[in-house]
Amino acid sequence: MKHGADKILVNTSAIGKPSLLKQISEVSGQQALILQIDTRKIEGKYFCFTHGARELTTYTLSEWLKIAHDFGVGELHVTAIDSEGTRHSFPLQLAEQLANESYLPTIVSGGIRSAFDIYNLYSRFGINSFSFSSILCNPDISIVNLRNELRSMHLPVRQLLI
Amino acid sequence: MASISEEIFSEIDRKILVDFIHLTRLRVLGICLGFQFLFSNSKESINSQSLDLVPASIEQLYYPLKPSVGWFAVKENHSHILDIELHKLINNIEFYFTHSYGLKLGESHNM
Repeated sequence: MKHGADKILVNTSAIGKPSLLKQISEVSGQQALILQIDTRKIEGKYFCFTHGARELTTYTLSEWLKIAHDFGVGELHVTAIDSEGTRHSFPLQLAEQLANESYLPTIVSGGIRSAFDIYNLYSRFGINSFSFSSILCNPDISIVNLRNELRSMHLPVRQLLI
Repeated sequence: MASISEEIFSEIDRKILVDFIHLTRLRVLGICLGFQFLFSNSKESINSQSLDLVPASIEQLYYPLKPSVGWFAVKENHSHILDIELHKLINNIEFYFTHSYGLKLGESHNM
């Protein structure tokens, strides 16, 4: 923070020591702390992963969300492991669970394939922040066209000043 | 940003700054923490005093605690207060906000 960072994003170190969340929140303020959650469905339930989505933890998504809320996390960045970098869309079951179990501002990633994916998640679950990269590797999709398409669907897309 | 705002509030010579603001003919625009500093105090930093230029408190925005995060448009409440160029620059323009404490509109005193 002293070198200019506005926010801190943590995953692995927080799952290893949840009290770290409270420490960061107390020092930097809740609004500066983002919890990265990498999650995948196993036998019908979403579980959390660490170490770049490689190591399974014992935390279910529900349990970890509750800890996040209790320990002063300000924002969530949730990645759906199974759809990341694939042709599959962000799972609606996961979106529904986030909408039902968290009141924190949430960014979702993993499976944002099109403007329709964004529209679907926004209109059905109120998710209003999206992180994506693969979609822009498609030469037929530009960020400007994507924004215009979302605007045509009446989503509140910020006007660029440039 | 509890500890950072305590550092700022405790280091600034409030009296010199308040006197300067009263004496100068320049208008003061507070942005972010600078805005919050114009008020009486902040619940985020209960042991510190602000400039008390506006009699109101900065409070927690939501219960339970969560930050207000995102792009929001800034609007000028009263016309002809902002310099015309500044008005054009910022009125109805969206800025990125991330804060857990702020001024609740009920205490805005028409600011």
